[in-house]
Parts: sequence; C-alpha cells; structure tokens
Amino acid sequence: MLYFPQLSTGALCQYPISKQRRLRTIANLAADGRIFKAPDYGVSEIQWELHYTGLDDTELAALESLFEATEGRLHTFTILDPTDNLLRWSDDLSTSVWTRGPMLLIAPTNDPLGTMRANRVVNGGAAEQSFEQTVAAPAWFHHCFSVYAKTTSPQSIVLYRNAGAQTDFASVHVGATWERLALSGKFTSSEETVTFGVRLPAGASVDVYGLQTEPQVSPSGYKATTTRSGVYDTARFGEDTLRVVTRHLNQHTAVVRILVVEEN
Amino acid sequence: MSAFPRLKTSAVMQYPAERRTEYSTRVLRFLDGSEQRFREYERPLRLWVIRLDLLDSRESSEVEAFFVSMQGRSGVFSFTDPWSGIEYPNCSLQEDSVRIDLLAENHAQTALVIRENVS
Repeated sequence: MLYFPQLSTGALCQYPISKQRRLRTIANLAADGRIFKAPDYGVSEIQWELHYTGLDDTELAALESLFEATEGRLHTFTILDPTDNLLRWSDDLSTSVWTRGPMLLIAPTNDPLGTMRANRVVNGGAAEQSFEQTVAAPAWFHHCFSVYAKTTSPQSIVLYRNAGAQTDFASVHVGATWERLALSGKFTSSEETVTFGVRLPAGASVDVYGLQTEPQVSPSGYKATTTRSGVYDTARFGEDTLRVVTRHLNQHTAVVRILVVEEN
Repeated sequence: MSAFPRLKTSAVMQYPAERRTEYSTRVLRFLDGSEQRFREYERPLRLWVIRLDLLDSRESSEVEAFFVSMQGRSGVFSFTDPWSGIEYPNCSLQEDSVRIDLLAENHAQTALVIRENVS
C-alpha cells in the first residue's frame, strides 16, 4: 500500500490547505425560475490543494517517490486527510466500529458545548475494561490521539495505541472539569493499522467527548465524524505533472493536488 | 427542516455580507424599435452570499458536514434573512461544490451562496 508521506515534522502538510468537495445534482431550470432537482448519489469528489515551502531533500524525495510509484494520476494511494478525524463515529461509542469491553456501560451525557454528544462510560466489572477503534493507517506515521474527559470522582485512565506487537500508553489524571488529554507518537512497526483506545480501572465512571485521531504531532480542533473518517485509500494525484522549484540548497517548494472520487 | 449552521457567535454570516434580489424579465424587441416586456418569475428570487472567515476547526467542519448533508444543491433548508429576520423555509445551496481554505490553525475561510427556491 502506498501512503502520502508525512513531513519530518510529523505533519502531513503545511498551511495553507484548500479542501474542495463536489457532489452532483440533476437540475432542470424552468423559465419561471423554478428548479426541479434530484440528488445524484453516484459520485462525490474531494480535492485537496497542498502548498509546500521549505521542503528538504528527504521530504521532497518521499513526495517524488510516491509520484513516480503512482505514475502521476495512474495509480491510487492512501491519504490521511490532514483536516479531518481518522476515527469514525467519534461521538457514538455504541456503534460497531468501537470495540468495547463487555462490562462497559455507555450512555449519552452532556458535552462541553451544552449538547448531548458526550458519552458516560462506566466500568461495571472487577477488572480494567477498555474501548478502542482500529484505524487503517500506517503505524510508522506520527499520530495524535486525543479525548476530552471529566469525572465526578478524580481518577486515572489510560490512553493507549497499539500496532502489532508495539504499544504505547499514558496514564492520565481525570478531574471534575473537562480537560483534553492526548497521546502522541509513532511506531517503528510496518503495520498498516493502528488501534487507539481508552482503558478504565474497575468501577470507574468517566465522561468522554471529542475522541479524535490525527496524522500529526499535536491535537487540533475537534471534528466530529459519523460513517466517514479521514482515511481515503483511493486517492490519486490531480495532475500528471509534479512541479518543484528549488529556492536554495535543501529548500524546495511545490503545490500538490490530490483527488478522491468516491463512487457510491 | 434543517437550518443553516450558525457560528459560535450565533451569527449566520459575517461582513462583508451580500444579498441579491433577482427578477427575470423577457424583453422582445421589434424592428420598429418597440418592445414588449414580461416577467418570467412570479416573484423576486433572493440570494445570500455567505462569506465566512476566521472559522475554527469545529465551525469549518460543520459547514462541510452541512454541505454533505444537503447533498450540494439538492437539499432544502430554512434560512433566516439576517437583515429582515424573515425566515425563508425553502432554500438551497446554489452550488454543488464548496471550497474551504485553511490558512492557519483555527483559521479557515469559505463562501457559500444560498438561493431561495421558487415553489
């Protein structure tokens, strides 16, 4: 599997980033101004325009290597949307994308924004229980897993991530007010899936909100997801030409367009 | 009925704010210079150009999610004219595409055109 490369900083791209979404509607405009419309669900399109400046030789080589491997627009690769959340159903732990311990009780509760999109997770068992989601992302990429949490009785929970035999975790303290917790890092493994989860001690009751995984070092603003996440495995370069301008020794600029066409 | 998403300030649009009122007049000109004119629209159409800047991640994500939920210009939603306070229950997006420019962390900008549907 080919992946759009990360920079040496752990970010996938730099600002500015342009993201465009296109859908299709069949429309018939009548003379009196009425429009008769029907949605065409067959195809939807997403395009990113990524501007790079100050790429070093290694970063440029990775980009050019991917461009040559895909022969421009010919073949596909996987891109992790730098503007999106790689988790699906980030507000709903009851869906099947989440693997939950059998003794976990989950119910909606108030979130920091005053809506009911948080989840109260109660471990009714006598041992640690966890909930987790596996993302189809390369383990050697830098990922940041973050969650907002609070509890009525202060305690510690564990954020973890696994890829094959490699694991990383952080025990974090949860207090009475909403606080964002994060676990960030990358593995040396060549696994192409990473599992992100939260582990609760026996008897713990914790409110969680804003579960998010991003292909970067630090957490950014929370983006809620449902059926779709930010992992696209049918991405292509938008052009058959990759233009690189070298401004100085080890300093390159490029603009890359990436396209995903989804047929439903 | 879906409603157009609001910013965290509860506003639906920012300055510069643009609105348009559209008629459609058919003009028939004759060789002698005389004309006949008649209206094609029963009543004026209203359009609002929503330009949004300094959106944070959540707001830009909600705009994108709204666009997808409306399936571009297919969907119908209610929109309250910020000038008059009148709610127009039968509006749609004008375009089948939306572009969001992320200029920096928590700084996105986009523009959408809302069109009142003639029923």
